[in-house]
Formats: sequence, C-alpha cells, structure tokens
Amino acid sequence: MEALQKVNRRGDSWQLYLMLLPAVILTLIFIYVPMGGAVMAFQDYKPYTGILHSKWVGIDNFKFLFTYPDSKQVIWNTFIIAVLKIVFGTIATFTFALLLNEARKKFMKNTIQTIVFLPHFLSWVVLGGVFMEILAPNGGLVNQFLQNVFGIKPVFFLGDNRFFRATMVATEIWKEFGYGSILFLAALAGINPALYEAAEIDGAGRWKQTLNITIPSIIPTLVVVVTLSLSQVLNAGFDQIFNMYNPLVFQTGDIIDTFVYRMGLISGNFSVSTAIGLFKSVVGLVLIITSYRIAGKFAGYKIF
Amino acid sequence: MAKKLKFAASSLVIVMSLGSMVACSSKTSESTPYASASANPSASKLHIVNGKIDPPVTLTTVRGIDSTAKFKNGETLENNVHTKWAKDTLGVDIKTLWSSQMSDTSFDTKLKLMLSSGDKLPDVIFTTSKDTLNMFIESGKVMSVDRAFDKYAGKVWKDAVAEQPDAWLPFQRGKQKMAIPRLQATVTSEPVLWIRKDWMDKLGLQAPKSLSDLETIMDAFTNKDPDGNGKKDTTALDFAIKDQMIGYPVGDISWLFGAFGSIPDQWTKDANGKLVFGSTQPGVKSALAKLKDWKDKGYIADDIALHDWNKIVENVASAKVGIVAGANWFPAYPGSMVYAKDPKAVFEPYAFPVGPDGKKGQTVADPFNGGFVISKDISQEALEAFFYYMNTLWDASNSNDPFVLKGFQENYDYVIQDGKAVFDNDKIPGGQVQTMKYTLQGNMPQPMSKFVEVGKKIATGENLTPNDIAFNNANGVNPKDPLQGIQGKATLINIDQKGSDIPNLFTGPTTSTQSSRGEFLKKLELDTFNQIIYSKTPIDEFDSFVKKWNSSGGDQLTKEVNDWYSSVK
Repeated sequence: MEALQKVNRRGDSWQLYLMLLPAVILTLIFIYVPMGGAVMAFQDYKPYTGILHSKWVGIDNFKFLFTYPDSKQVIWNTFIIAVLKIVFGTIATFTFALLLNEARKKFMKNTIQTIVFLPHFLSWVVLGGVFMEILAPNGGLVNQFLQNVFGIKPVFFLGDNRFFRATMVATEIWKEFGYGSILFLAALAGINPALYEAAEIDGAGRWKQTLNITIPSIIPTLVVVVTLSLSQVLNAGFDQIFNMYNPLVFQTGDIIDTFVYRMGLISGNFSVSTAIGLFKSVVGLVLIITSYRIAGKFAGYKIF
Repeated sequence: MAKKLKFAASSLVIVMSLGSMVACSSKTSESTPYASASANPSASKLHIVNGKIDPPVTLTTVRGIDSTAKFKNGETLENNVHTKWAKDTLGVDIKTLWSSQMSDTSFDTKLKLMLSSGDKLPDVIFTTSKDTLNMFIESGKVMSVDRAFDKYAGKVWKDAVAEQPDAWLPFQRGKQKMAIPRLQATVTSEPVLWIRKDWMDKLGLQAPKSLSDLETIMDAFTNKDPDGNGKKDTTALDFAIKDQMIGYPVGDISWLFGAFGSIPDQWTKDANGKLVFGSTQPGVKSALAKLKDWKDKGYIADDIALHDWNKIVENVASAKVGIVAGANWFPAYPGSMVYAKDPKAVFEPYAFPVGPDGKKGQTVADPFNGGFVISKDISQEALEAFFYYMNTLWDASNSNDPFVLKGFQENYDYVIQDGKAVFDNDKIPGGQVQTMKYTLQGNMPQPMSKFVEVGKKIATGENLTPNDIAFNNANGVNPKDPLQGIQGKATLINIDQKGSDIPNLFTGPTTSTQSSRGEFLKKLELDTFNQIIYSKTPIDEFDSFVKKWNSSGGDQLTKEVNDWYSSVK
C-alpha cells in the first residue's frame, strides 16, 4: 500500500518539474550566467579586449567611486528620495485601499479603480513633459492656483532645491498609488465576511471593525510589500528624475543612476557603471535578507 | 532547505571561481605599436578597362542604416542602384556583410561587439561616431592610412582635405593618420540669429548691430505686446542650456559668450598659443552677468534651465518666442511649424550683434563628422578599388557634366527632360529618393570651398555654370525650393561672419582625466552657471568656480589636452 502511494507521488511530481523546466533554463541562461559579467566591475574593461582579456584592477573602480567628489551626496540623495517614496507610497496605497474598500456601489469602486490605475502605464517621458507644464513657474496650473487662491508667489518646483525631492515623491505617488493598491485590495477582498458579521452582532461600529478586523488581516500583505520595497532603497527612479531634473537641482536631485548615465555619456566607462550596479545589488541583497528575517521573527512571515 | 542552500552555495562558488580564473588569466593588454601600411604599394594591381576594373574587385564592409534614407523598387542599403552602378560601371563590388540602424545606436554597438569578438574585420568601415573610430584605432586592427592616401587619393580629394587639414587630427596617433575623415563644411554650419520679422515690423525695430540694440529689441518684444493679443505672454529670447551650455543646433547661445570673447566648453588658443578651456575664461563671467540681467528683466523664460532642443521647438511653434539663434535650416524646422499656423509668422536671419568691446564670435562645427577605418588585412586590390570608387565620386564635383553620375542618379534623384534635370517628385517614376545616402560615406563628398561658392551663387540668384549644376545635383539641392530662399539669406550671413567662427581645437580621444573627472567638472560648471543666472549665488562665485575647476582636475586636463595638441600638430 505504501509502496503504491510512493510511486503515485513520484509520478505526479515529475510532470510538475517538467513544466518548471523551461522557466528554470531561461533563468539560468539569462540571469545566472550573465552574473559572471559582474567581473567587469573589477577590470578596466575595454570592448575590444572583451571580458577575458581586459586588465584586472581589483577594487580600483570601487575606490574611484567612493572618492569621487560628489558620490556621498549622490548616494544620500538616492537613499532619501527612495525612502520617502517607499514610506509615503506605502501609506498612500494602504489608505487608498482601505478607503476604496468602504465604497458600497460596485460600479463606483470599479470606475475609480480603473481611473487611478491608468497613470501607471504612462511613460515618464510623456509625464515629464506634462508635469513640466503643470508645475511651470509662470503660467503653470499649480502656480496659477496658488497665486489666485492663496496669493503665494510662483514657486519653481522643478528648479528649487527646497521643493524638488518633495515634487518627485508626490508625482511618483500620484502615478503609482492606483497600481500599487491592487495587492492590498486583493487582500481585503480575501477577508472572511463572517468576521464582519460576527463583529456587527457584537456591536462593533465601522471604525472598530476596521481597527480590529481589516487592518490586522492585511498586515501580512503590508509586511510583504515593505519587505520587497526595501531592496529598492537605492533605486530612486531613474526614468522620472532623468526626465524632470536639471542643473539647478543637482544638489538634491542627482541620484546614483543619473550620475552613472552622465558618466557613461562622457567617458563610456563600462567598468564603473558595472561596479555601481554590483554595489546596488549587494546592498539590496543585504537589505532584503535582513528585512525577511525581521518579518519572519515579528510577523511570522515566511516564503521558504 | 539544506538542498536549496547547497544549490545556492555551489552556484555562487562557480560564479566566483569563473571570476578568479579570469583574474588570473587576463594579462595586461599589450600596447600594439600602430602598424604601418601593410601592403607595400608598388605596381597597381588593378586592371582597368574603359573605366571599369576588370575583373571586378570585391570590397567588404558593414553599414549603418540612415533612417532618413528612402528606397524604392524593392531596393535595400545592401543592394540598390548605386551598388549596381559601382559594380557594373566601376568594377567595384561593394559587399555589405551586415547593416544596422544608426539612429538607435545599434550600429555602433554592433561594431563594438564585432571588435570584441575577435573576428576578422571587413575591408573598410564607415561610421559617424568618433568614439567608435577611436576604439578601432586603439585595437590595433586597422592600418595607418598615410601611405595609401598619399599614393591613391586623387587630386580633387587631396585638395579638399588640404582645405580642412584639422579634420585629420582626431584620427592621428602622433603624426600617423589612422583613419580617413569624412569632411564636413564648417562654413554654413554656424548658427545665425533668427528674429520674428513681423514683430520687428510691427514695433518699428531695426536689425541689431550691438548688444544694446538687441536689448532694445528684447525689451520691446517682452513689454510692448508684439503679437497684439493684449497679454504680456511673449518671450523675447529663447535658448537651450539643459544638458550642456553649447551644442544645440536650435537654441544656441554661444554668440552671447562670443560677444565677450570666450565660448564655454570649447578649447581655444590663448595669447601664448596654448589651448585653454573656454568656460574658465574671464569673458564668460561678463556674459553670465548679462544673462542674469536679462532674466531679471524678463527677456528670457523663468524655467530656462529646463529648456532643451525639444522645448525650444515647442515654444517656437506656439508663436510666443521672438528671437532664437539656430542653424541655417531653421526655417525648415521649427520655422515651418509656426509658419503653418500663421503665414505672417516669419523668422528672418540676422548677423550676431557685437559686444561692448566690439568682439563677436559664434560656435562652428568640427571639420569632420565621421570617418573610414581600413582593416590591416585588406588586400592590395581591395584597397586600390576603395580609392578608385571614392575618387570617382570626388571627381564628379569637378566635372562639367551635370549628369556625370546619372548611372545611379537618373530616375532616382531626377529625370532628364530637354537636357535638364527635373527634381519634381511627381515627375520621377516611383517618387524622388536621394541616392547620395546610398554611397559608402552616406553623402556626396564635396570640397568645402565649392560648396560655399555654389551656395552663395544660389542665394544671390547668380547663374550657375554647368560645373555648379553638376555639383548641385549630387548634393540633392533644388534651387527652385522656396524655403531655400530664406536659407540662402542665412547662408550669406554665415559666409559673411565666418571670420568670427570660434572652432573647438581639441578633437582628440577622451583623456584619462576626462574619463575620471569629466562628469564632475561638467556638473560643477552647469551648476555654477545656472545658479548665477538665477541669482542664487552672486556673480563673483564664478571666480571660485574657476579655482575649483582647476584644482579638481582642470589643470591636469589642460595639460593632457596640450600634450595631445603638440603631439599631432
């Protein structure tokens, strides 16, 4: 009897593994094997000598990066902008999902969801131009509003170091909160309605229900979202910043990726950009392992 | 879990050991001395019968696709009326191994991949990218062209290059020439000042001779409602400084700096004959103070720091800008966009005004815009065939026969009716296409002096000689085009003010300081200049900028640039 069961289990398994095989092969070829290219970060890479014959320079590229005059400022900008985006972004999506969940009419719910969803699909090349118009210091919508309603003098949002980071965070959230709230909305949909009914019988109002049922039920989702976001803490959003920044805001708005981009343009420096990419990946790896462990300890959350 | 850990660990080990193997095995790439011409040119190996090499010689190449090139009759870049003509009439069989788009840089990327793959190079390669050409030269796989050019290039070609000898410099290593430049006419590449004629007429203004004249015009454009809509919504002057101070073909501001004696980002000779960097010269300080002043007065937009080429085009098309400096083809783009909306909105070209000390200057293009590298492994025949092909095209500019190249131009660029060339699109079967884009270098080779002379004749309405017409055909210029009238005026201004051209004298490969500090220096400059224009720092900040620039690598960079200059001149 037992032997039969064993054969059955093994029989089922091999078909599933076969289905996985193409994905595994693709991942191996396109993600794991190219990782070997990371050695470029330790070489003085020149295209015509290729990876095998370029001069080995050890950690010179990293030393160069960290002694570069602006590197600390650039890393700090990246970190601050990314953290602000993660914190306020998560708050925004979380709150929005909760609020949307309260909507009674399904039609309203779906329409709103679709509308806030759309900006995610727009490219920053387009949105960059749009926001440059809206935020323009003379004639832009926002400034006109500020002037007519509050009598405030026009603010050059995209050209002022005091406002640039906040502008980047705000516009990014506007673009992504709809898409980002999907995860939370899905989690909310999965809450057992019996819990709510039980709470109503016990005499709990809407607010108490939210506090005691809704929020605790989506804490695991929140933990997943934050954990995944932590690995992005050095990715402040190249597309967005590149399309909207300018020399006036280099001080607060220049991030690692825009810096690398300009280095590439001026010097064609492959080794340095690989070194930076490697540095970002290592930091991301360390962070994600740490946050995963923390999530496991405090929220009992595990994937493996 | 243990299994998964083992797998992860073993793959990490494999990747790391691969890395260390590379570390141990890679040797320092030995610097190969630049090989002299491989073939010892003795007797010519070409057997030419009736102008055709018999039997035809194959010339291998790889080509970049120009996205503006049009084909008809099912032709492609590899196989078209021009390549057929080269094979059937000249006996030069141009064999294209592969081709790729230039506009998305995939062509240059593929060229670099070809280099690193270690494959044998095709006979000749043409690209517009100086960086790519420098890489080929560094690789040691291309031959030096001194002897070959000397022996095989025809008189017309040699004379043309002699007019612009600095075109060789970027491709020299020491005094040896490693690539043949594609010449670019510098005269007519300079910007001119484009001003809305209807606004000038409405407000009774005259052409600006000095900067103060220009300021009077700008004041009127800003405050006297030139477009007559009752609102103060017009911008006097627009220019682009978003990613660089100089270098935008539309929205140039080099002329303001030129009026004070130094153009930023360009290397010029100082009183001692040494090359110095424009951005750190004292004239720039005065020019920046002027820009700050103009911004305070409202002559330029509040968000000028964000303006790049696209923004300028947008602003011009919205009919709200009065003055833009730009190339002589400005009427075609973006001039035509605002003209389409309002036939009265016409931009006229003007010479640049002089500064308070009577100085004047504007930026000018490099004398080259691409080049040929020739493989070390090229055969004697193929080398001679290449020069034979190129000489034929060069000699056409010297011919008295307007139809000397009709072998591939007839029924493509023009049709011949009553002994005259007709360029009209509807008269040519299948529509008009420019076959000059099919040539190996992507356009028709022409001596600059001739180009300027014919341009001047067309602009002034002078009669063209048969030689001029032959020249014109090849360049795809149609003297009957109305747009060319205004462009012609601009061309005349270009010729007139060529004495105040300020070329960039450093055209060498990226130096080591440029590579390590270039980005920082550029960022420092853009940052400081913008802060000054926006009154966020006082004008004297410029002096600390100069000190910082010099000490952060600028001194070293200046030395490297001068070393290069003395090694090639």
